[in-house]
Amino acid sequence: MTDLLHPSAPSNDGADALQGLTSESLSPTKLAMKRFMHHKGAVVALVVLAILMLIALLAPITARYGVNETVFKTSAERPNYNLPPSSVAWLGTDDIGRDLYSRLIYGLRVSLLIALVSAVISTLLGVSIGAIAGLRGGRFDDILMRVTDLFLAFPFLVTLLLLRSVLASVSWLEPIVGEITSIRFVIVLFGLTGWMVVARIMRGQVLALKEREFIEASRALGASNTRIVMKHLIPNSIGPILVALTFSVAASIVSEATLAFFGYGPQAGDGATSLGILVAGSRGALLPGYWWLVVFPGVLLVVTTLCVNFVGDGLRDATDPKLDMGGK
Amino acid sequence: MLRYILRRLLWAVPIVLIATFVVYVALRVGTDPVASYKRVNQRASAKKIQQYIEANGLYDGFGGYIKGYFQWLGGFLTGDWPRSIKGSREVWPAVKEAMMNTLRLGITSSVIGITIGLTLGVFVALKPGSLRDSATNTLTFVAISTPPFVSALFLQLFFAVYWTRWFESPLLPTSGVYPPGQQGFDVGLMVKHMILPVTVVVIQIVAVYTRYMRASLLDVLNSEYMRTARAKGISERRVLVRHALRNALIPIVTLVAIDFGAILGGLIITEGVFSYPGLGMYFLKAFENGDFPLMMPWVFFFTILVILFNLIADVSYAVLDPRIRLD
Amino acid sequence: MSTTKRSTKFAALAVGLAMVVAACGDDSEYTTATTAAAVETTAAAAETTAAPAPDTTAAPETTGAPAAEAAMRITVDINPDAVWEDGSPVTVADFECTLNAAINTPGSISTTGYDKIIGISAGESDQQVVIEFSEVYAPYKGLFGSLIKAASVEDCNDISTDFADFNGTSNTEWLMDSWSPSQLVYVPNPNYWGEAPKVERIVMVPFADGDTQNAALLAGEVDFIYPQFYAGISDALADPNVTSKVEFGGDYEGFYFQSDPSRGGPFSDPIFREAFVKSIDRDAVFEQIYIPLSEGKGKLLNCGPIVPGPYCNDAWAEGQFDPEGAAALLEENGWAKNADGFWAKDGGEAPTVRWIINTGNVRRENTQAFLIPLMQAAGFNVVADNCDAACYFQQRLPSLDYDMAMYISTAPPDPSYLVPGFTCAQIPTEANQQQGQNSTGWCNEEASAKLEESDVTVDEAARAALIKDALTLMAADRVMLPLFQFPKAGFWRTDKLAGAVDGQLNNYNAFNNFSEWEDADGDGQIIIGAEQWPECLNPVTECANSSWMVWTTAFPISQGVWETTNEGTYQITNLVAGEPVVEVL
Repeated sequence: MTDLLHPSAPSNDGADALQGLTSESLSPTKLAMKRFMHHKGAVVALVVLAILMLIALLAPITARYGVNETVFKTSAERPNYNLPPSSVAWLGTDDIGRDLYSRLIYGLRVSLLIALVSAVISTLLGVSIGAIAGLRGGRFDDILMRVTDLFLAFPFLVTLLLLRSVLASVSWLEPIVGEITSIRFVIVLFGLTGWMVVARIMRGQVLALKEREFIEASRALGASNTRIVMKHLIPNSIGPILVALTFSVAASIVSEATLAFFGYGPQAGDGATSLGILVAGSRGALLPGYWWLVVFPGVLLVVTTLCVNFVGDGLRDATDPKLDMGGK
Repeated sequence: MLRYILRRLLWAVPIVLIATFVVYVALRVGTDPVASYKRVNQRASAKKIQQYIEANGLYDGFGGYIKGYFQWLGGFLTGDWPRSIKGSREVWPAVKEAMMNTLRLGITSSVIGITIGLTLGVFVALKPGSLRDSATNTLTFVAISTPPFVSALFLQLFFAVYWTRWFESPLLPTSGVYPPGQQGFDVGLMVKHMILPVTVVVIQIVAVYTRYMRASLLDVLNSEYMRTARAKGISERRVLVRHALRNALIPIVTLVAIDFGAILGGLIITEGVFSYPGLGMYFLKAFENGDFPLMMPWVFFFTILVILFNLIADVSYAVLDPRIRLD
Repeated sequence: MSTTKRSTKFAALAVGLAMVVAACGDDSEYTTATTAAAVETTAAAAETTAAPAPDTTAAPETTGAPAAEAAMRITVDINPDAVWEDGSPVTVADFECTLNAAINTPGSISTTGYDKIIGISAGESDQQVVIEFSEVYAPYKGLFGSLIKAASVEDCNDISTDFADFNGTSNTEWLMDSWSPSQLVYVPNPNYWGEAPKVERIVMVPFADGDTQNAALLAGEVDFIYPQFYAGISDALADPNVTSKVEFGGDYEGFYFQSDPSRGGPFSDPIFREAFVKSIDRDAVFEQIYIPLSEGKGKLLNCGPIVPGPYCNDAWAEGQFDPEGAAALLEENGWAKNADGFWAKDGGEAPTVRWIINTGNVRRENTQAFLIPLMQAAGFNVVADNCDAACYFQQRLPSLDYDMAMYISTAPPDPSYLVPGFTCAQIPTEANQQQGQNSTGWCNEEASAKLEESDVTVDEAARAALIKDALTLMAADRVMLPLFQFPKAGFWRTDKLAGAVDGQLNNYNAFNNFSEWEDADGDGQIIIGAEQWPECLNPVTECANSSWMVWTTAFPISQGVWETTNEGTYQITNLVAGEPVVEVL
């Protein structure tokens, strides 16, 4: 929804960040670190997120069962399905007797993979589009930003669904995007739909920076646009870009869950699972009262997204001193 | 000013044409209407299929898309809309009904959500760094991080199911616009049915707008110009009401305009969970069937709406912000 | 009034609503009989394309050709009291219209059986219908299950634009009062000649998903629902005021192995297929997937692609799961496990088995998740190769683009659907324009002959024997593996509903006896929840290709000669005066 589209509040236009970075005596990085540490929520979130990522990364060790392994063979006397939390399955079992705890770990792993890779893709895309628009300027910039605005404002789920069906219909794209139900496909899809916010931020940065002396100087020395972008613009915009990247990760996690909820996510059959698939699967468990199947996936999804959002918030405060001033 | 608006309006025409053409092509490629037609009319002969292609301008190739687009647009503008592929039903009545339902839901939730959000935003911006600020900050983050279907399911379960179990009479209905079997118009029932879906949407809007408002107001309060006003000895209250709020609202107005389309579109999820027969359900159903004649008016309307509100955002920004000078 | 005796002109095709009605499955399921019918429909597009007609279809339009010799004649006496909602009598014209609508309406979904009709005429009066068939057609009771009122349409030869969003005709207890995308209302038909219903109003409402629907029943917003069965549904609907009844009808689920030799999939090798099927632990699948689902009420299905009844001989009961036998069989024939632990022949590559299901179906995804690791451990490289329902049922299955499939079929009470589904002539080939309906590609000449013979054998015992022989051959060829006869259940509120609610809950009729239900809470209406909602009400086009469409908008207002009972047999309706006379000429 709206929140996904405008994760950064209006005051965080890239241009603002610049002042903070240059007007203090401490080195920008150290200053940012210091500011980040002041944001308690962000620090706690970062720690939680690090633990979650570690658990997900070490899935073969941390998970008690395989992703599709039943906790024990079912029988009429001792059914293995829909068991509440117990010592056999810490977080209970699902409708075919699989351990929810282990599945959550594997699901988190897939969701984080999708979110991180697609966020990197969309950030790269956004940085390029924003930089080109900002540097070229003029009509070209107008058109690119108009397109960005439209993309931002169009109903997001519909954009996803339309692009999804277009990608799947063009046969020569298949080697690149993979099968429509594959994880790769979802990554490409999110990568192509998440660049707008980054593009805007990057453009703002470029516009603010490009008239400054050091850029003009290097231009006078004959540096190419690519070189200017790589050497000056990106290093000077790293803060806002990182913030956008973080929010983009959170948005991807929620998007994946939404697509899976409507049955358009990655495929579950082979055993791969994701937070989205687990949450979507919990729908039928509400009414029968299998609360563990609803609560744990839902909570893990919210906690993961929340932590990523908090880290993003902390990063933003760290790189945008203006917001912080209220506290003084 | 007038010249600016006129120029923007003129610009909007080619933008609308190009944008709707792009979605037209996306739909043609992604949902292949000819294939949908064949699926529904399995006995259709090659001649019949050819007739259908010509009647609807479903030609191949890029030139075919252009030709087909203008054929579609001509029919669309003259009120000659093709019937749905599945069931060959008239499209406009279905669009109209869904639109009314969605507008009702969307406008209600937007008004409530934005009002609460802005108030809350002012409330926390006045004491930045305080307990209420950080508590609100955390809560808005939790709300933003909770997908609407999760909150929808929980609300539904609590109000419709557990409430009934505990108190033996249902408190709020879980689906539809009216209770099953209702005939005729009834405001009370309609409102009752909107409470849960509106709540889900409002939670999201409140969270987003609280953050917008807080940030925007802090921005203004910390600006040079406000410091000057304070230094001049103008009372804090007057500063706030006269200058700060007014200036802080300028970017918000723009955001409301930009968000409008997104809010309406975002209702899709909520409508889905509550079986609310709005534009979201309409689109999801049409998409599932690959029903091009149903989807095209939908995306056309939304594209125009999005462009229109973008325009409103720009113009309102220009009108409201005295610092912006128009050439 | 004279009814023309029409000859082969319309013999080409006709629509079989009755067939669909009997065969109605879910939109998302593979409905054997309907799709079987669809073959003939598409093949018969030959009417205008001038392509050679496949041998399974009657000759294309040949106006003026002499009428073929009739091989079977059915004489139906219409009940003299039978009238439409406006009081006009039901006559032979309505039978003719039903046939013509089906024949010539573009997009009609089923012609099976009707294509064998060479003439309809009035007998002694226009309330006696004489139907002549070009050849003996054993499953004739599936025909004319739902009449179309001739006076209600402009052109019986194309009714594709009729009934788009309303159908005001009726020859039953009910009249459609209104229909919209969100609600359907029935009121009693004042001109109905039988017993009047006990309720003043029936309301049907759609629900987007099962959970919303369940919640609405618990909240008392609906009185009755007929949900798709899943594990946990009884827990979900546990409430002192809610009761249920579970039935086992014509739905069955199974595994299918695409074995067409000309398509060259891994299962075209009978040795590999046999070893593979012998390695599937059907009992384990049953215990893990189906026991939770049926709460222990169901049993493993051993009949093959058919449900228990007069045609089932439990041919799959013995010797199916035999992993040692499978390994031995492979080794004897030059197969060995390769470095990855997969069976490969003569040092070649290990075949990959592409298992397809429709994405989003939790039960099937669960089955894959459960079985694939077991099969891989047994040395078979099985991979999930899924796509959405439209792609699965409308593209991949009909074009045999899969190795292993899993789906529910909805069998009508009559086994005639086995003929298009499992005979050699129906394998999609160039010769039948890829329109054949045999989606497993199984060809066993002996079995095909027996199945085809069963279609023209009217004697019940002889027919059953032929079907059973064919099923035995099918079991030996291991072309499919039956799993489960699927439960159907109605759930309703006892504080709101009384009477014969549990009378007809099998999928043949669903809740169609609601005129016998009683409105216990006296609010003047009964509200029924619908899991799927028709897009349109046309009874012969794609609109009708869904069981929910038929249950909600066709059954309640239209009846024909025969109807299906809850037990899966046919009986005559009160539209006719007595059992029709069938003569084999």
